[in-house]
Amino acid sequence: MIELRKVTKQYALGKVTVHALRGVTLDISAGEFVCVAGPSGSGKSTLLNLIGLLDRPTSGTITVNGVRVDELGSTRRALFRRQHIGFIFQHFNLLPVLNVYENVEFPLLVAGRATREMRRRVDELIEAVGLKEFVRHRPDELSGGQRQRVAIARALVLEPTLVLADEPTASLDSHTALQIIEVMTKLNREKGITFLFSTHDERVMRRASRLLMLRDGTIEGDQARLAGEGG
Amino acid sequence: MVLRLALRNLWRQRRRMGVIGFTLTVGALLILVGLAFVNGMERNWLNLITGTMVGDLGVTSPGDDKLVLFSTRDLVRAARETEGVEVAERIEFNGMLVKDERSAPASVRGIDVETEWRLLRTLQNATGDKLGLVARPGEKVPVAISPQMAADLEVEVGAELTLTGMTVDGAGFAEEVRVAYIFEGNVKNAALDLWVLMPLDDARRLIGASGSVANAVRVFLPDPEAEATVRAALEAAVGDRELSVRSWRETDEADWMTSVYVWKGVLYFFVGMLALLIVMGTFGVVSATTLERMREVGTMRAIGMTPLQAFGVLVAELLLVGVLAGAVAVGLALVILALTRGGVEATTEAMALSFGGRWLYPTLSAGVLAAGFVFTVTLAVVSGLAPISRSATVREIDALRHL
Repeated sequence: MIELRKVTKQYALGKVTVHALRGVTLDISAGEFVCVAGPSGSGKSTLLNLIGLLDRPTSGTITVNGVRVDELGSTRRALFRRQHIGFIFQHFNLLPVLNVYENVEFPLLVAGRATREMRRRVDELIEAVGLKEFVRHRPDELSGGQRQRVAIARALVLEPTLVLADEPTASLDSHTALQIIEVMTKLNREKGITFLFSTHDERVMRRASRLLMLRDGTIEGDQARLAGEGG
Repeated sequence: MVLRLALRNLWRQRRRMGVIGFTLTVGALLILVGLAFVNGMERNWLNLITGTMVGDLGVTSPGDDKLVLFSTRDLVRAARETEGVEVAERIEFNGMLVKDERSAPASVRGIDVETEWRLLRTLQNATGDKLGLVARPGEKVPVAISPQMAADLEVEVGAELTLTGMTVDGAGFAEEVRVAYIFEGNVKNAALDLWVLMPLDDARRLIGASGSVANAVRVFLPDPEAEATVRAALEAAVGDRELSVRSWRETDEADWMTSVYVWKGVLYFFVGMLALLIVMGTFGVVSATTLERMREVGTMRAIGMTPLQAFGVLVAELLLVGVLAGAVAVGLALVILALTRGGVEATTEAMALSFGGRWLYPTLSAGVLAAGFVFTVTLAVVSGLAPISRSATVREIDALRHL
């Protein structure tokens, strides 16, 4: 499903060149529940951003669902993202002026989906993440966990085949974090959605079926594991 | 989708959008009110020149010949005040050549009656008034009669008649006349079926024409827009006679308007500077608000909104703000115009000079109001194009990192 071949990402920070990723080669199959771990600055977010088409690699190729995404222009990248990828951000990135229902509905509006279909899908997802009583609340009226649930619902509303989550539990307490991971795990198990998420949290890492260890922009370890096993 | 999102965003971010709208509304209102005062000033000066001094058009006679045209009302009034002059009673129409009471009675010397009729007829059509004609000594009195009378008498133009009638004192009179003209159709006063005229010398004597003979005719048009048309008709009417037809613009008094136009240019310059300030102000506010929403835009892009869609939503928001601001500005301008319909009084002599009179009546045409509305909408969109373009096309990752 996802193929990275010698992907490099560099950017300038003043006079210094930062090598965020150094020749990463990686394959991820459909339906996997993959955790990307590593210390700060190891390139986790960069990896997710490149796969999520939020950024472009300096060199190398990225293929998602058979499409060379590193070659796409801005508009086609947006369209591809819309059709195939859901993104869950560390800081939720909900639209502050919209309520829960409208935030989840937003991708459907962008995609131009029919109103009846929108309502059905949005209701379904809000129910799935347990936020039925909060549909008219704005993000600033919700707890961190609730906001992240909204973000998950929004990421899934267009039925992507791949969901990328950049430190989805970083802003949450441990109990809520596990709840969120539980939601993601359940979706992976029941719907076969591929999840690729980054985290520092070891308790979260244990839930992954595959663990990628990044350090200084390279993959230090790639370990298939059973969910629930220790590190 | 774009409009729906824009409407929703506009409502949800009304405080932020309200700042932009307020800037636009105030600026547009100031420009519209400024223009209304400029227009009022111009109109005052124009009215002063064309409505009092020289008229919209003028017909002048060169040399010593005097251009004399009679107002029949003056004739009737003078005749009634003078003993021994017989005038048929049934002349009841307004024969004013000029807009006010200061008519300049005269007749054209040295031209034939037909030319005089053509000139008078043209002036009649232009001013909507009926005019009188005075015959020359020895000539059969040329008269204009109604179609009904022509049918009753079985006469056509050129026929010679002896016309009889009763004077106000009940005395009878008979006059040898020549039918010079038959009115067409809709004569306003049904009682009118005869223009009684008298020899030129008698008329002059009656109304002291020697003291009131003019060498020019001022034509005050009910519709100044018809100036070109009336001028062409007057020039055709005078033919190759030595009478000149000229517009107020060709008179010395027209130089006054040059000063007015200079002032108008200065005022437009300040209006332009104000418009520029509004653009800069709106640009600043829009830039600030767009920057604040950079992360939000990044999120929208990350979710799958294309750069064009993001651009469209942001521009649509500004468009809606511009429409609202324009509508409010136009509405307030109309209120101000209604409140100042009675005029704005000049409190100093300098103000009166600028105003072109003691009172200034701010005016704005529907076209200018519409242009003001369009200008406000355009300003709203144009002011935001640069920051919106940047925001919509910045890399998603950079937008998401924006604080």
